[in-house]
Amino acid sequence: MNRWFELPGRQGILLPLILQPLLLKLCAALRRKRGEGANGTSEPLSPFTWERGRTEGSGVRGWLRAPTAFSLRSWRPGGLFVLFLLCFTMPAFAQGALDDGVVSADEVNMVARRLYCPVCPNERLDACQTQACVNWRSDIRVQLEAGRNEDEIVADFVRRYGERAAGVPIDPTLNALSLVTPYVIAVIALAVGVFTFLRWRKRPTTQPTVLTTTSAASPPDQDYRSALEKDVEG
Amino acid sequence: MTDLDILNELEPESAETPARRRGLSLASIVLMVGVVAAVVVVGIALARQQQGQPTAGPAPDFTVTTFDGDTIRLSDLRGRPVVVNFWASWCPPCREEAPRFQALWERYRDAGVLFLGITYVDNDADSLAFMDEFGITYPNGPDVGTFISKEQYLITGVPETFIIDQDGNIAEFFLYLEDEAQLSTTLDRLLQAG
Repeated sequence: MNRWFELPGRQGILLPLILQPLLLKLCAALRRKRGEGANGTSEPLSPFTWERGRTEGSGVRGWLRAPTAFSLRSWRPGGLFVLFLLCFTMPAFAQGALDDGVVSADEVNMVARRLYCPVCPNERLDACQTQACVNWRSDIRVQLEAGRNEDEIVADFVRRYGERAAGVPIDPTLNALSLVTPYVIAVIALAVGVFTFLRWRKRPTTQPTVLTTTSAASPPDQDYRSALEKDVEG
Repeated sequence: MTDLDILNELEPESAETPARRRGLSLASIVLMVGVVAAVVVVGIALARQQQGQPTAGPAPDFTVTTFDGDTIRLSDLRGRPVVVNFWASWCPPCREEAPRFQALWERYRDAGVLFLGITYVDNDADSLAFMDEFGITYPNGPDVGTFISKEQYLITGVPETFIIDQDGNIAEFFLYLEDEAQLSTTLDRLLQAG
């Protein structure tokens, strides 16, 4: 099965968004080839506004350059409609792939990656070759074919086989620590940040350094020097 | 003027310099807390690794729902020996010992011994197929959430078997039932003592 179709909804939406500029460039190139907008006017070749002057001056074709700004006036309703449709057709393909009842090994492994072998320590389910893991993967396949999604399957495994199946520590203390630690770190970081900020705010503004006369010429220093000289002289 | 006088005169000047901060800085405290937390976590993990199966003393109580739908609580079985066997259909040694357990169950059931099988991370359908294959008739049930096997009996794998006496104490623990005599010796002793 084509791997594109395995993309779940959110990632599937990203795909047309990535392809969108390329598609627009292609349309612009075709139009340019037909002679539209090639007469040096300021009419853009695509829904984007292009820096035509610079690109032509630099000898680079306009449609090869990245857009520098959007122009609302130049948006074409037809193109927008096509793009809108594209955004929803990709996730629809992904859904269709799950609905057809055929589940690939890649799809099974995508779920298995989130689970751990019940026998081998720290071995992920998708990489494990024990019979237990083989059974679990076939269980995942059955559930995928039944229409369950990834989260539902993982939740079912955790319910039946414990949180260990999802790689969560078994020990209740460690489990609690693993849950609490991120929040503790966040609180400490916040406290340090606030403390530093407050200390920075309270710090007095630095005054220009005033040179006092208590330097080499100050009386105590002179006294000390004279006393020292006396000691040296004996 | 003595040196002490000179130093006394110099002292007011040095008092203008900022006083040295006493104690630990915030960063040092955070670092120390982090190190202590890491040591605690590693210590707990090591202590956990050191823990083995309970081989003596009171058997941890549990409740299991069998594949037939019956609910069995271990503490309700006081007064009779109980053989608790952890197994899984994907476990080759479990396949080897399964006929021996069934034979022993048939031999000791009238004497009041209860055999109880608990499946460990096994698909229910596979477990039932396994029981059909070996004609197992004593009660069996899944360890839902692996609470019994991992939280209470701390098994390290399957198979593992605990023999619990009439008082609810663990009389014997073994990993694999090599022959029927291994179990029947203990059961005979418990029945004679009881």
